[in-house]
Amino acid sequence: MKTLIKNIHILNPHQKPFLGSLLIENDKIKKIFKGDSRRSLYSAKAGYWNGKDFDKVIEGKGLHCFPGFIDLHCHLREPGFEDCETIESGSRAAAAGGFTTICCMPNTNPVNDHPQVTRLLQQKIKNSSVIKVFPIGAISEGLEGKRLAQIGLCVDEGIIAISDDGKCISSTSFMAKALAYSRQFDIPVVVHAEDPSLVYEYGIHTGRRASLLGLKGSPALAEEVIVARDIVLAERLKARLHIAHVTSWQSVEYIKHAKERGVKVTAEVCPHHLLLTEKATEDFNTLAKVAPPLRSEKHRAALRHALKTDVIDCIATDHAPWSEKYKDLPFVEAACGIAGFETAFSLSYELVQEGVLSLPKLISKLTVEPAKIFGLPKPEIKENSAADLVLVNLEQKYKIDTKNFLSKSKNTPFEGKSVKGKVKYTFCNGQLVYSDQ
Amino acid sequence: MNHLLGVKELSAQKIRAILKEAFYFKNLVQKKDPSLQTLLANHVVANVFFEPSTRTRVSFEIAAKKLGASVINVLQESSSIVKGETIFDTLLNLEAMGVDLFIMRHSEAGMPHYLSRYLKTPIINAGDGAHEHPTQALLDLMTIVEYHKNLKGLKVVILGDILHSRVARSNIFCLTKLGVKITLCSLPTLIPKGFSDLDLSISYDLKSAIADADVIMVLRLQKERHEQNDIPSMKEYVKYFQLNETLSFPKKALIMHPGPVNRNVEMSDKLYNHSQSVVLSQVRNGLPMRMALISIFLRNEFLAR
Ligand SMILES: [Zn+2]
Repeated sequence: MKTLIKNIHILNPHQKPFLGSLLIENDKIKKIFKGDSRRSLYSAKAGYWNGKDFDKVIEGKGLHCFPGFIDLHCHLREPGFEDCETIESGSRAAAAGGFTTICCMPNTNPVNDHPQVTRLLQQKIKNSSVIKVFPIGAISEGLEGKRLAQIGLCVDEGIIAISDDGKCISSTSFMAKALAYSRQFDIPVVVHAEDPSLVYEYGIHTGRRASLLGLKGSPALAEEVIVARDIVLAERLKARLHIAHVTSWQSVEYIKHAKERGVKVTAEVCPHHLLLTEKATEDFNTLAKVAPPLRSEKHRAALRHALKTDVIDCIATDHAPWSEKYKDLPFVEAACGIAGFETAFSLSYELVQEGVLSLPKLISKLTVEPAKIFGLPKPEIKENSAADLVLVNLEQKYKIDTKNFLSKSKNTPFEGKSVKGKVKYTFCNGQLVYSDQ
Repeated sequence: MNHLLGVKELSAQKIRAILKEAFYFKNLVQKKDPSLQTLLANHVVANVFFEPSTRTRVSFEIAAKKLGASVINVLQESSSIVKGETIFDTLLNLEAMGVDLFIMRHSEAGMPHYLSRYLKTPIINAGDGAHEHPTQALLDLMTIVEYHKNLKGLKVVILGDILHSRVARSNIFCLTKLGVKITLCSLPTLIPKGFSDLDLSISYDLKSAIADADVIMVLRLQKERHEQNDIPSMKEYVKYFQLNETLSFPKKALIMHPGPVNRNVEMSDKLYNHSQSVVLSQVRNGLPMRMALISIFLRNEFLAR
């Protein structure tokens, strides 16, 4: 199988973009031709310019080519909630968003806290995913925060990190044990920082808007105390700590100082927290109900700045698909979460348009930075590396329309929003796994 | 107006029109006008209450019956929360059976807002969690206006458990729109987060807050506040925040309470029966205000000229 992609702007993180063409053979990038395709292909070994030699030729004029995006945080809902998403539908949705590697959280039913569950997941991934999926194992049995999950045995089955995401470990002693134990396997411990004893209602920020709706919400403080606590623990226990979906400016300060001291802490931020504020929850809009919640402008501005200054390492979607059954409910009863795969790039690209990030920086936040955190191979467009690629038309404007979502769930507060930057093709291991038709 | 979910959605102009309509009905009631009896004949009003409240429910029931409407009561006033889906089914059935207006009370904020998206039948919110209780705020306004014609610059102190009070929120929305100056007076643990950003003052000192008040609106303090550590004890709350006769406040100040009052907790018995207390006027005004609102929704017109 040979695919030729002609005349694309090839951009590797931390490198200058250049015009060129790519030859993909089987699962690898076989050759990179710099310059205009007519010249470069003619001057290359005879035959390359002849279209007949390829199984597929893509004219990529006007498209940018990046390494496939990597998402450290998503929920694929299988097993247990297949009405909301499956590994297959989720992987297709991720591919449509330009992702070629995703890491799925263990809060399924059953929870991924046991090697048998991990094995079952790996089987399902092998059979039905169109991209690379790495499972994240639970920290505690049943996500109850009481007894350690079978972490080592799950590592043997291929989990890449551990997390009780969706729940916050409230016991300090249990968290200390988990961090200490994680060192044996040198895996990151991913935390959802939201102290349950400070939360009244999940999914809405404690502040003026929630107060006017008669809700007490979840305060930034609930995140900050856990971030501070876990940094103290990770520092003392020399463990790898990854803070999921940071939302508070004070958390950012704690992370910044910890990094300066050399603590092994990393952090991610979600596109919705970079773009929206608590204003979106007005009128009890359950589509904007997400945990941790959308906060005030001050927090949002701090997150953007932290991403720019590398206090926050990467962007993660926290893709949390929920069918209408879970979302079309009174606010207090509705589930928390936003389906994020298919909007992640276009939304994040707003930061480039607004001058917060350069394009290469944005791409590194979606590729090399997340890869580093979970110890994945360095994503790079070079000869003989895996052909995990995404082709994007940065100039194309479109409206977010959930009717076109490949995800089984359509829960997004961004419906109808005009954005720029459309994913056109996604290749994973040399296979075309998404094309925008 | 499709529904009355809250005062937040009402314009100042709309509030004034409703007020005028309520006084129009008050006048007809006082005159014992016979046309009232048949105004809403053949209409069915359903009281759908998922939280105990005899007073509000009965007030609506009498208001509807005085206008000739029939009233059915769907009461599930138990401690277990009835979920949105279940309620939705119940109301859809009632709608299919020909109910013309729902009066609804639920312990969850936003419940009537959720249901209103799917029902053609109008809903009057009779209280949703700590969110809104629009008819109470409107009848409070009616009571204030009977004593203070000019609302602009009037100083209203809202005193007590503001954090858990839908009455406080609806009154804040309502009075702010009409140019009233509001002071919230309570303990730091009972003031909602972010309210300092609103166009009002916050005071933690009862004495100074009421010293120049035109209206003192006392809120009910629920017994659970002690268990939730919002206050250490009722005794301590009473010592610092009970409105009683030892305090000094202007002679013209109105003393209000949405009821039901916890006797000798948030206000002393003496003040409840004080000459400046208008608590019973509030109850009395509940009737014409609710008659006006029911009529507005069922007849789709304002009668007052
Ligand atoms: Zn989470």
